[in-house]
Amino acid sequence: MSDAKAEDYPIEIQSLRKTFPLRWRKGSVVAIDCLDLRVRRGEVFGLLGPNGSGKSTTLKVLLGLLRPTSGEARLFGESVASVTSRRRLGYLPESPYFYRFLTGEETLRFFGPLCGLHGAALRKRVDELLELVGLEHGRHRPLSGYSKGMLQRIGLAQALLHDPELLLLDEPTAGVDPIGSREMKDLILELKARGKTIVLSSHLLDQVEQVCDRVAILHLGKKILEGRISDLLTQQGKVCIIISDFREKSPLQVKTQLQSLGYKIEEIEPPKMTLEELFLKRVAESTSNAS
Amino acid sequence: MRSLMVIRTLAGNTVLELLRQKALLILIILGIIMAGGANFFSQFSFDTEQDFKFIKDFAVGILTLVGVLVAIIGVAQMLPAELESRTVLTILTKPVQRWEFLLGKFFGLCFLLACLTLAMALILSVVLYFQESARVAEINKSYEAAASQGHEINLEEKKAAIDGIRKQSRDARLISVLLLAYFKMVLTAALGLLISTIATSMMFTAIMTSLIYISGHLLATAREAWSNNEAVHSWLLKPLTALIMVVVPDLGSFNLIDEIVAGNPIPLEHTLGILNYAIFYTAVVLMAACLLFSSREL
Repeated sequence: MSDAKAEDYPIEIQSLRKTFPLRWRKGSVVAIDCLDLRVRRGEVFGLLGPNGSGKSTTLKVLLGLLRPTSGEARLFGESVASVTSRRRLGYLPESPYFYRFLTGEETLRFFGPLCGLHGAALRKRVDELLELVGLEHGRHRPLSGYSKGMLQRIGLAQALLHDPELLLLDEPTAGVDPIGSREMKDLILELKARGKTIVLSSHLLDQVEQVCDRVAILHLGKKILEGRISDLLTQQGKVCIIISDFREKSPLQVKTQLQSLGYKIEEIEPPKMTLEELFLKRVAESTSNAS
Repeated sequence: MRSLMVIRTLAGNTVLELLRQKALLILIILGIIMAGGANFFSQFSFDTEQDFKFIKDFAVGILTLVGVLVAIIGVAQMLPAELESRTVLTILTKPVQRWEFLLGKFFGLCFLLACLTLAMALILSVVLYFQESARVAEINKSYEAAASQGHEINLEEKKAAIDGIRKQSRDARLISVLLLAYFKMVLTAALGLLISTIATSMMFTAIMTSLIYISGHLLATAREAWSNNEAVHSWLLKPLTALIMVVVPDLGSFNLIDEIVAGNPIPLEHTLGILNYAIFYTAVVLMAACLLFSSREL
């Protein structure tokens, strides 16, 4: 693959197949079957699918933790089998697996040399990241005392330690409260604005819809759908008209008018906000009232 | 250079991890106290030479026992715990080679064992120094008493007695003994690491490493049985004995304390020979462990 193409597509998966042999029995389980996937530079890509669909296996192959049975996977044009392919990659595991006896700062200082950072550069980077993820107050606290949201944040900080161009986020808001979830979403969008390529594996479809440019849906190890969110969710041939200052008797008149133009009206109802939006709005109001 | 930094970081963290394990910490503290206790136990003997031999034998015995237990328990927990807590996954998603990870863990344990050996060697030196001072003071006192009673003092005899005590306490052979005891721990840890790369549980690693350790001490007996065809004639026992003789290291040859107890000299060539054997064996075992771990799916 040419260098230009490799830079355009940080992730390239071709005909990837991964099977796991069954113990004591002949045969094997197919975790990924004939998967083709390309993630473009600078986009937020959502990897969706129910449990057992092959999302985690795909991520593990990309991280070099599992070897493909056949096919190939490349990061920036380099085979995932090579350690150098991970120099430009940051990974946030689903449940951050860290040494619980280390403090937030010590955790980042431990991972620094593993990413090639040390000395003053590492100290500066640790300060920057603790500020970015909002964990300055937890800097000297052992991770055993961290909440789930704080663990996710320190997990994101370690993933960003060497300022990677590509981020793999596995369920970044699993077990996090809506406020933490919103903060994580904002962080992802901020990172996207900084030019990072992000792959997000998640069950939270709302969140994926809000942050991802493109998605792929996996089911039973196969890709069943891939495309831009806006394209996939747009219902062709239908239009939604939002009218402000709508009067009580209006529905009938609007319906009549539109029908006279030959349109078929399916439904007329007030627009709704999402539960997440309502929750965040009320909590913000309550916080401002209390203060 | 980068690999060295990675290994050093992982080794440093491994030391912290090991020191946080209460069982290991208690074992280390107990070992250090018991090594110091050699002074107390020696009081039950009335022979100066036997006293010193007892102190050395006891302290080296405790050091070896505690060191090997720390090596087995430490190595048995090291990799399985990382796999169970999945911290290994976060580390290996960084640009870290699997062999760097494994060597980092191994050298962390080796560093802890080196500290333990040095601490116990220091305690042994202190015990021997106090024994020497006490015995020399006793001699001086007895000669002073004899002089005060008007007896003629044979200074040559007094000097010979003091030199005899110093020879016992300042025994250079102990350096060889402690060095080989340390390398026996290191080799045991390497064997444990090799097993842990294919094992799934801590218990399996600990039991298998202990069995290999015991077999390593019975190798001389196995060789004897092998040379005597009558003893090893079974179709199963013969190849099994051959396999053990080839695969299992001869850990019995590391026990040089018996030479001190027997009053034999320890030639430098002999120590260096065993040292080379230990380093070569450890390197081969570590290479095998790295190969196995690299091919393991996580």
